[in-house]
Amino acid sequence: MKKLAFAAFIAFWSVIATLLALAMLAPPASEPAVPATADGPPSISLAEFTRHASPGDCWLAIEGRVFDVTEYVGRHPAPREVLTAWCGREASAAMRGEGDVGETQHEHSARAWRLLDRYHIGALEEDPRVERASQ
Amino acid sequence: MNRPDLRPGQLTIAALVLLTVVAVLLGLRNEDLRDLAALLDYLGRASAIVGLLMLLLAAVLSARLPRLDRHFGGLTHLWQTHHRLGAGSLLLLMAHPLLLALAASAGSGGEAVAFLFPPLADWALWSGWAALVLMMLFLAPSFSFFGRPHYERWKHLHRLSGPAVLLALLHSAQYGRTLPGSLQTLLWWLLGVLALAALVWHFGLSRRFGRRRYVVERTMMVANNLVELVLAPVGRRRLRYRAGQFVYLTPYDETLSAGHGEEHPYTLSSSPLDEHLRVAIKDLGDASRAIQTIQLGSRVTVEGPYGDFFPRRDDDRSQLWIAGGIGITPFLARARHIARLGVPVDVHLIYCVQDEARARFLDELRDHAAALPGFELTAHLFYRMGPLDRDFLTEHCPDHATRAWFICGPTPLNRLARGMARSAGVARRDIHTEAFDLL
Repeated sequence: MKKLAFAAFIAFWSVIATLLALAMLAPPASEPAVPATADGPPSISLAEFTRHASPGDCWLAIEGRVFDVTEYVGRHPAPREVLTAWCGREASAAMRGEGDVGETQHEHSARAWRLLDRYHIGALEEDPRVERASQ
Repeated sequence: MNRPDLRPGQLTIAALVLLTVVAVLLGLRNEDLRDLAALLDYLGRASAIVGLLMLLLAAVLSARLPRLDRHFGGLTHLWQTHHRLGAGSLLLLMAHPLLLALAASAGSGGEAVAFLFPPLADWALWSGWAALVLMMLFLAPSFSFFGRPHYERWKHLHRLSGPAVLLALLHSAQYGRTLPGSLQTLLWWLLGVLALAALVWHFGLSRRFGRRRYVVERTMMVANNLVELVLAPVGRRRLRYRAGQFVYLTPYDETLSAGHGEEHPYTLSSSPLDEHLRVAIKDLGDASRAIQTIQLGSRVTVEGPYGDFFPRRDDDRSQLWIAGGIGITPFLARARHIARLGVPVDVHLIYCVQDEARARFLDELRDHAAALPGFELTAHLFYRMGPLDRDFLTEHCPDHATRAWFICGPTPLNRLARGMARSAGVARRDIHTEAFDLL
């Protein structure tokens, strides 16, 4: 058992060291997953957006962009409901950790923002933040 | 390799781990099998849950409550369970971040590193890192990562288990998402409180409430490297024990060159009917060497008793005792107790030593063999006869296959004798071993 534990200990730090080396040798961060086209990203109406408001069909609007994070719901590191509470809603504040968005919310890392880009599906026609502010 | 003994204690631990594994498997959803990344993510979470459970169970066992160990077949076996849980926990909790990082990396080393090392403000994730690093620190000596550990340093480092448990629970509370919420809350709260209570007891309260005070009344040099202490109780709280059990003894003699205020396990060599406690201590390290010259009148404390070597109720079964070296002490205690009781027995003691000059207490044991009906003694001298074997047993104890075996000595002898018992057809339940290797 001692040999196994020691081998695993060495293997663990070897993997960490390898990952660090790979990260240092890797090229800079990639471009957004959905590049802007001549026509811009697909436009999504607010009515369409709000229909995707369940854990099994979860879209988020963040700073005017729409993300389909349905696939990611089960992999979000915080408890599931922390993310699913924002399905079909404007979630910029939650992503930024600003305002009264619950005690488990915090400013997300650069990695989290890059990860989010993978799920980018379009742009919101109307910005609900503007709408809410004008009410 | 011998199969570990499974007593109610080990079975309970195994059942708890198994139930948790089942609960984790029930938490598997279709989306966890969608692709490799999702599967790795699930395995990462599963390893964390089972690893944390094992860490908490190991902490609970560390309370070292007297009499709890009997459900594990003695403290040595309880420590072995604790040790296995610690090893399993470390392996799983090291796999946990790597699996999650691989799941999140999408083939990019940079993404994996960004996942593993987020901004410092992400305290919930860093609490997991802190718990893991603390675990590595306090478990490194247990698994001899950097050579054989110094006993007292190892014990001090083990105090880091308290903060490690707290940080691991904090981390889990922020991220737990695999078990149903109520089960997760119940499991971590219940085991978390038990584990922390056990650690507080072990490292703090037991010193005040779990120890009995004695004073060194007499010392007898049995050999130049073996002393027997005779301890007189201070106050009315006396240790109640069975012959062959052991205690953790802490000497308070500032003239000692080592071991002052340090607890070490030693077997009691007295009969429970004796007024005084007797402890035979062989010079095997700094502390046990220093205690050979402990001052008369100095204070010691004892915590225990521990061990479940001999059955709690005497039965009529004939017994074969195999002792090696200082492993003679539980048998010496038992022989002294039988002498005090004055009852007939059917016991054959094979005392394995290198040569007769190193056979401690041999004269006293010969006196017991001469005086006690049914008590036989045979010395096995390694230098002259080679390793103990079945031929020797057959010659000196022909009915050894029908006896209950009690084996106590160095690990190689224990392993050898246990193998001989199995090959002689002795049932596993009739083979009892006691080891001194607690690490």
